[in-house]
Amino acid sequence: MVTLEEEILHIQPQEEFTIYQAETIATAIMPQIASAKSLHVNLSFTDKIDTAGFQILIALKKSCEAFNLPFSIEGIHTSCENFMALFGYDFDVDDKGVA
Amino acid sequence: MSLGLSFSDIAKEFHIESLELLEAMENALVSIRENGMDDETINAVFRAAHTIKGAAGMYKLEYVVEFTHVAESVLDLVRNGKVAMSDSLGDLFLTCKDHMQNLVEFAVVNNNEKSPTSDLLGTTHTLNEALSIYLGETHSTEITPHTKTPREKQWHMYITFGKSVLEQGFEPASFLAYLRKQSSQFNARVDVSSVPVIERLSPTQCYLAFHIDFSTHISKEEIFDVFDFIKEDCTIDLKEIEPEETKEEPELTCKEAIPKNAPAQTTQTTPNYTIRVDAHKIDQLINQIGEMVIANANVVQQSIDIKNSDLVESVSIVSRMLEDIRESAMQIRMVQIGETFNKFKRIVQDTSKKLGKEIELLIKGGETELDKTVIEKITDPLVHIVRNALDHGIELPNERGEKPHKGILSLNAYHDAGTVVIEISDDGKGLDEEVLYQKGVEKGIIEEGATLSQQEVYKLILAPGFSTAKEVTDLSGRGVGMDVVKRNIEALRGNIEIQSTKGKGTSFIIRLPLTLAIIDGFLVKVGEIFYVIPLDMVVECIELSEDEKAQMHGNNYINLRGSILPLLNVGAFFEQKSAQTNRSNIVVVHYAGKRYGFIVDELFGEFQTVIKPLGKIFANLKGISGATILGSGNVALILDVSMLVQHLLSLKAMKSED
Amino acid sequence: MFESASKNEEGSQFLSFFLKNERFAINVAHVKEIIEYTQITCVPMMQNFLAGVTNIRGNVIPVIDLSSRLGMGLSDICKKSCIITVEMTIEDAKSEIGLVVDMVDQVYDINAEHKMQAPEFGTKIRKEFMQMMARIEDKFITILDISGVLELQELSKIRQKTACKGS
Repeated sequence: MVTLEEEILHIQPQEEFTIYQAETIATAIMPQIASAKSLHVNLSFTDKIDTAGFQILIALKKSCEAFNLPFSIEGIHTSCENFMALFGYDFDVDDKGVA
Repeated sequence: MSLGLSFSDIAKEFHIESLELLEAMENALVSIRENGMDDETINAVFRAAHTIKGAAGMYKLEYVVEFTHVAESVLDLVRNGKVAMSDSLGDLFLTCKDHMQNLVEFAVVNNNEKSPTSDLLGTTHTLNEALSIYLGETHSTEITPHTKTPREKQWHMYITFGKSVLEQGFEPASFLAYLRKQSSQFNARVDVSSVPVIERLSPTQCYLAFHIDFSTHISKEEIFDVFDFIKEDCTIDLKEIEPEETKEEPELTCKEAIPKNAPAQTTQTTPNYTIRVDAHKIDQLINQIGEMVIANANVVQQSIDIKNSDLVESVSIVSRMLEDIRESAMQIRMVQIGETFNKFKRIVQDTSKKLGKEIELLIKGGETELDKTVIEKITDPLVHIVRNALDHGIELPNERGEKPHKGILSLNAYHDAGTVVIEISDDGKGLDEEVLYQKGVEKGIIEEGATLSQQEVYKLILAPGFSTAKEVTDLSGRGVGMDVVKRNIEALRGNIEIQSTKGKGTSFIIRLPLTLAIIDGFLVKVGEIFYVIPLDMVVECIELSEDEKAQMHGNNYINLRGSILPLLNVGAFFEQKSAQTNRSNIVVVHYAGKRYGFIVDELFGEFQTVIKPLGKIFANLKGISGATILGSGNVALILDVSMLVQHLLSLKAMKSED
Repeated sequence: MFESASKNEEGSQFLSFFLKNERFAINVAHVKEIIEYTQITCVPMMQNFLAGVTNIRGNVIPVIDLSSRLGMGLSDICKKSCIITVEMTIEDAKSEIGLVVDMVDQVYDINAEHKMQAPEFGTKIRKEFMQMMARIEDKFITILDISGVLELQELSKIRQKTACKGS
């Protein structure tokens, strides 16, 4: 789910990215983030997200901003998009719609 | 790893909450049917439906939400005076209430893992159709002039979710989605400023807040209701936009908003402040206090032995305080029986309608308190007795002869000598001894020619497989029935008596112990065994001299101040070796209005007693209801007076046959 | 039968004790505590081996005269007499029962290698009370099947018309 390849940290949650997986994913990210030069989240396998998952995404984005690392997200499913829309938040790939 | 709670964790809470709301709904509907509708009661019905819908929405019980929503819409029309309340609509709402209950039970039993059965969905469908008729007639029946159309208002909310909401199993998105559903316009913006960088994130904590702009027809109170489940941990600022329309609404935080700022339309009855506590904790407290009582009895004895009057004085103060604590602890378990009685209003209404009978329910002594566990176990038997009275006891209006057409069923509860008495009386046709006897023979319950007392004949109706109706009716003749009554009551160490006058009516008199945990006892000794007799039942003690013993000539009674006192020799009953002491004592007890004497060896006086169960090994042992620990650490056995008296009566009956 | 499975779970440690100079043992998994012999209150109408009830830290628990239960006659209470309390699940509820024994011996590790065929003859006690016979350092130990010994149906029977024992 979390791999470091050529200094890019790839984060790829499975079907569910919810409070049930949040702790596992966060724990897997922590030790590796220091050695990453950029962060990439692939949500194309994920069709269920909740607040806990959403917060991890925000936290990752904030970490990247703090260290000036590139941060990107790909493959947001409709169900996840609906979730973001409810929150009025937009993770554009270009990352423009920060609220 | 700390996970959010699953449905099964919160199911219990949801279940209890829903059942309470449903009960409130039923009570209000029944009251409307009885006394007509007023704002307060119909609002109570609406509120209950609304809250259930909200709760079900939180837990994603779509099928509950959808069904409740339709009922709620019709209720809304009724309370706004757009649809007239009628008996048939009231009945429909009651049926809807039952269905909601079935849906909730289904969700809880199946842990919200299964879709509802086709039966349930079928009922949902039928009821929805029935309800939708009313939804259609909205404008045709405009009655009250001061109809309020629910007006849309615009709101701005800033809500900060508590850190622990996720861990408690709540999902902020569900609340938002629900609010969005209630709104015609909805626009939320998440405030992520509190979310830390990933290195400092606790993944199961909630860091989010939201700005929400929305327009809705629901009231301010109802907006807060949406967040009712998490109101403890979240802060909500709610502002109405368009201040020119109404008086300015002050900013409110959630905590104070709901109870106080609810618009005081009518004198709203403030609900009693209650805390829900695990019954086990109370039991534990009572047990510990019981241990203290025992330990203290020991201290009292020693202080008396030392003969230090200051010490005795101090110890007696402690004893008194301990007694108060014990009383208070016991009070925690005590519940008024009124609530249980109220449940019968609907049963009586529904049943009498079904049977074409006119029956009025009279309730007395609803404030009588008894142990919650006792109440729980007595409810089923009461339902059976009431149904039986409605079904078989009270006649059809044209069969009632001289009596008023309207039959009367009365429920009455009162305290009597350490017991609680519950009476269920009807003014119906009474029991027919001959018919009962014949029926008993037919059913093989008794043998032809057997001599039975009147009481025994009456009690045949409590025997398994006995039904006096010529046809088994839908109501009370379902096979499972009156035998449950006897069994449950005996399990509670209580008893039941039936009184009846042909043509005048029947009374079931149930006698139950006040509590199952502590009693004041009277300590006696027979042979080597200590026995405790519940003090409330003890009237007096008499010494039985050799002379008197001799005068008894082996009879089981003595003449006590001119009246016959039946006697039970406790030692003989328990087949103990006869005691060597030549002195005996009689403890006179009163039970169900009569006096009996128990022959014992020695008397030790009053003693406060914690009842300890004896366990399954002693399940077959008759005449002993439990055990208790004496100050010395020894164990004493508690006599089951009800059982012993019955034994005595059966002996007497056998004698009189000879 | 489930017996073998439950045996594995219970482990191989056994508490041995004496009844009328013979060694018996029960699996320590059942044993809650061992206390000195204490005052026992006779409960009328029960069978002779049911010595009565006693108070153990505020709980009233039934006490069985184990020797009598095994058909070896009532125990002679002496200085070394003990009550072993065992915890059993009876009809889904945990119950504690006390067993009177003449003297507690020690805990043995008993494995398959110690197991002996139960002798065809000479066993005084009923088959359903016995789990197996073991032999350790030339000592013979009868290992009791506690669920057989404390079978609820049998324990809860009411005594048929006989004189009450003195207690």
